[in-house]
Amino acid sequence: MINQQLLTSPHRHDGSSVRTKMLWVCVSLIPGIACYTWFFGPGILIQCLLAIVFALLVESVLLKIRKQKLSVFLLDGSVYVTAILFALMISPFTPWWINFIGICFGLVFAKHLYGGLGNNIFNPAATAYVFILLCFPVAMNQWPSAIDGPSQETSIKNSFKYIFLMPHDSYSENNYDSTSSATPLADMQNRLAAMEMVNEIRTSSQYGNYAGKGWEWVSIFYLLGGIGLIALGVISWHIPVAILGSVFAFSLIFNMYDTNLYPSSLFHILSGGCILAAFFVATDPVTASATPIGKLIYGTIIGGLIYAIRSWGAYPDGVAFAIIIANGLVPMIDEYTRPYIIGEN
Amino acid sequence: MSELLLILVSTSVANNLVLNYMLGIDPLLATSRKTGPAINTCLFMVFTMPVVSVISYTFNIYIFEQHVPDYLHLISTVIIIAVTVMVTGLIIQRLSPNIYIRIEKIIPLMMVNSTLLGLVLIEKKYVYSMISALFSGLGTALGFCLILMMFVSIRKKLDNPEIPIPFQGIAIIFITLGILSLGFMGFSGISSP
Repeated sequence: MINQQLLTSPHRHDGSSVRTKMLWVCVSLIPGIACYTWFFGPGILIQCLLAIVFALLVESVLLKIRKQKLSVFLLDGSVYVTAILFALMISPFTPWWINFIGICFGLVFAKHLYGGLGNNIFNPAATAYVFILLCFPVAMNQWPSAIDGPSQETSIKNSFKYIFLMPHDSYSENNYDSTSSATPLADMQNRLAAMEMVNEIRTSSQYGNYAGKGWEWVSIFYLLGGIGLIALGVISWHIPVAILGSVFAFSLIFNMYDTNLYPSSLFHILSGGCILAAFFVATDPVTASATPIGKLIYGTIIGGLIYAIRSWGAYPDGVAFAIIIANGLVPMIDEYTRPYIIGEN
Repeated sequence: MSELLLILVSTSVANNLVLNYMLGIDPLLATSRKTGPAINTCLFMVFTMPVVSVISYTFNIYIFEQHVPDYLHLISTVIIIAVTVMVTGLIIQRLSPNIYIRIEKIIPLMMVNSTLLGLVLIEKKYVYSMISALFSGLGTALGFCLILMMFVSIRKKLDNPEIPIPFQGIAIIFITLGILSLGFMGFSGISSP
């Protein structure tokens, strides 16, 4: 009642379209991708390119089957964003066929069976990632260690070897060189389960000042891109603030309860896919809640689930799971936070 | 206390009856069209599941395991569930007729349904006392209600003509359940011993 704004007709279109918004999302991901490449080698660029090619292929086949116009839907840019976000969530060492399976699942089951862009309930990139994480757990746990600048181990040649030449049947950790390791989150989870203390674990070489070495900088660059998106008005501040705020609050409470068992707030925010999800994946306008209060509730649910799955679940990072569950709750949130029309009971 | 809390969380989200065991889909689909019937089903579940859980645990420990041969366990569990549901219905009718009118139609649907039988059979793995049986029943009921209330809202979005014709109706509902179940698999690891 207090902040009610009276909006009367005529309304003017502000000139924004799906294409410009998606273009800005891609542009704002560039600093993050550049930093990722600096620390973890060019494998991620190959994954992005592969994902885009696969996504265009799958999307055009699906549009052909559904008898839709190729030019309109291929150029709107949403499929590129899905592909890039998916590629950023998987490891740079993922074999090409896993990338392909993920893209297929995401676009077919999460997008086109619901009627294409604008009708989907679940985020295609998050669904694709969850599917391959559940199907290929060993391949999804091979991550490169952070190295400053170009190096032999994460060179283009080695990345090609991992992505294209890995034998399909003999998937074991022995096939990788010493470059691969668990992510800091997974390492933290395993060693906490083995009764080590947080401070003790943090002294090992793969941790930096706040979170994992390298990962913290990648997250900070994603954050810069995300703030740029908010400044440009492409996304609203509600969802990122709610997600990061709730992760911060939950981890602060548990960290204060026992410093040895629960890592600090900054560690949680700067590691894994927390910032990427908060600014780029969860803010997908189709699958996120539409009302301002709904956005805050939606973000808080995601933040709480991320923290719960990371701390007590079996998976090291629960970002994609949290987004899928929250997407399922969005219709309910929207229904109960919808503003009433004047005169309605 | 923390173990009871773990049972509550694990039965409501991690080992959700609908998404993890694929039980209780029939009442979910039958009553998720409108908010009214859905709330009635929720009320019924929250009343009945803890009662059924505790009573079948008691019968199982004190009567079946000692006096009934193995091959009759399943059939006697079914009978216990049917009788418990009927008696619970009668008690609710005596105590608060208003609520009874709302859940009257669900009672025959639930009496010989896999939902309650599945709950009782799964519980045999981890329930160790009367109070844990109570919490397990309550947690399962709350988990079912969560999914049911989610589905009432989701189904309004699934009546979309843009969905390809072969997948309209029941098919897209099952696909949605499947993707939700992928999401809930993230809770694996939060489970009772």
